[in-house]
Amino acid sequence: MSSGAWSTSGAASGSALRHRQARQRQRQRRSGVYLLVAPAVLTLAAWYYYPVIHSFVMSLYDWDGFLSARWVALQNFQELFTDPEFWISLRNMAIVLAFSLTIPFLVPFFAAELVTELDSPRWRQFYRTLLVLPVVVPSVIWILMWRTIYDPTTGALNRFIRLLGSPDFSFNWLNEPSTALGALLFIGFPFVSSTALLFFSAALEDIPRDIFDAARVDGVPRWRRIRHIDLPFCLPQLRFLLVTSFAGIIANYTSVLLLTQGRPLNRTLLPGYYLYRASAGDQRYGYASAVSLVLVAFILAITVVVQRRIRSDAEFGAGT
Amino acid sequence: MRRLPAAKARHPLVHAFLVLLLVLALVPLGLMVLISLKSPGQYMLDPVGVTLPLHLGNYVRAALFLAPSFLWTLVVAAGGIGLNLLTSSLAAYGFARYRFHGSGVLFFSITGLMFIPAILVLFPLYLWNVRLGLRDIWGLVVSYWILGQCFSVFFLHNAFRSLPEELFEAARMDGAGHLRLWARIVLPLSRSMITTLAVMMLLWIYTNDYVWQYIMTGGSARTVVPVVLRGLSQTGSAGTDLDRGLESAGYVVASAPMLLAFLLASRAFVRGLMSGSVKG
Repeated sequence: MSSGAWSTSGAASGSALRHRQARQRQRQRRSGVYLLVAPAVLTLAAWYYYPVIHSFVMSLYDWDGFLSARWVALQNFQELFTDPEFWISLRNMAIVLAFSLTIPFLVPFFAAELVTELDSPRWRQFYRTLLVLPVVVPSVIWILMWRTIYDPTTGALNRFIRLLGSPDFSFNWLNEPSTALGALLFIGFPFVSSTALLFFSAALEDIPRDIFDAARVDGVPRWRRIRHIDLPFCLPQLRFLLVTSFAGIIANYTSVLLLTQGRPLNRTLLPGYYLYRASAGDQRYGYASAVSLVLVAFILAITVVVQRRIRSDAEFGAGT
Repeated sequence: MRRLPAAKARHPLVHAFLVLLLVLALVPLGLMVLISLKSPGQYMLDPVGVTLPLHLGNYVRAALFLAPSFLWTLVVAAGGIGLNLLTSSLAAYGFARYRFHGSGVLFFSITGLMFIPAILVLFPLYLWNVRLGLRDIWGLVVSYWILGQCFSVFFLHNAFRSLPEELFEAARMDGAGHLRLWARIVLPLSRSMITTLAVMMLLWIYTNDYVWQYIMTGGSARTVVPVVLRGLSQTGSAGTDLDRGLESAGYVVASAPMLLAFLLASRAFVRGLMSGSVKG
């Protein structure tokens, strides 16, 4: 990328010559653009496209990740779709999605409603900042702190329940089939600290004040105002957040990796951890490639469907 | 008009609800601070209350334990983010200001990767890094640099497009080439967007990317803060027993830098958080 290559000689005098020079410079500039984008394109080709496409090809092999590879055609896929544990992990995923796409958005919405209710910008700022603060604490720390809270003997949760009146209460929340997955989902409690709060609160503040005042003067009940004014105003933000968080929710298995490893009785086995186990645990990289190919296809399909839905919704003016 | 003051009377209730939410949201952090001051014995007797004497020594031990991984985190963040901003801003400048043969396809080949959650292709990337000899910290630097480009190019492309074309025209008249346009116009005029992007990447590296960091550096002596935190509970002085005090002190030490930065520069962080949720 030599910027000196197209520095003018300065000696050009005739307008035709200048014109020709300008055109030549433009051509040089255009080829220079390729040099600008080359580092990004080439590094991604070498560090992303090559290994990922290679691994997708390896989904047709029995592969240990390095040297030994044996052609097995579609056997990996066949094994995957007939493995009951894979279906269990999908069922668990459905539970996680049903929860993670509702509660962690509803609570911030109502918190944003409360914050917007305040007249003083300073108080709004105060609550918003402190409510979002936990977002900058590493997620590992939250997960490990909740492990401490769930501890059957010394944990704060069981101690709290003992104080409420059953002195011998000792329950292993993370190790009981009935509660393990719920306990992992509960780690975000009270589900208010998220960027959704910032988005909703920005959207609510954008609503013209006179609409609120008019509703107030007309005696419109609060829940009706929320339903018919506030919610439609937040809808674009909500859609955006739901679409962008979907893939992240499916891919997130940090708490499973740290706390339960899929136990007990596969109740916390999620597709992401299933994939992790096939790769890091069993070193079956061909099989793991088949798993990730299926999951990527699944996520892309849902993303396309949802985005098309949203686009058609927007066309038919579902807002307000 | 008469009803407006009546609406104001609800404020105490609103404050009460918000304070309740706030307390609930911060309980684990408060507990973390309380436990961080306990010896193992104190923790066994009273895991949640305030116990005297306060064991501030936990903090010294935790800080010493975390110090090397703090340095490595700094290396990863500075190296990964720095290289990323360099190549991403060059490419974003090219895509934002020029149309050339194949620009659409190339642009999509970079930004389209945002739709594939990186976590599903971690192992191919891991194997490839190992093949190339990029182990632990250096694997992380390279992956944050290169994989982060998908989002960075997209983000900076939007920022660079809004710059007025007249500035570029004028500079081109003076014979400025791409590199000079990039260094003299694009970068200085987009400083706040670039800062936002850097904050976003820092948040991602420090708070959110445990699994990849664990796969890349898990068994190694050179690792980053999120990964080393789990090892903290195994170094307890009480042998196999967990030293929850030491462990929690480590959590406090590890969260402190980001919490402080957030409180000091909350505006930049809020902007980073709001643009960052585009990332899958």
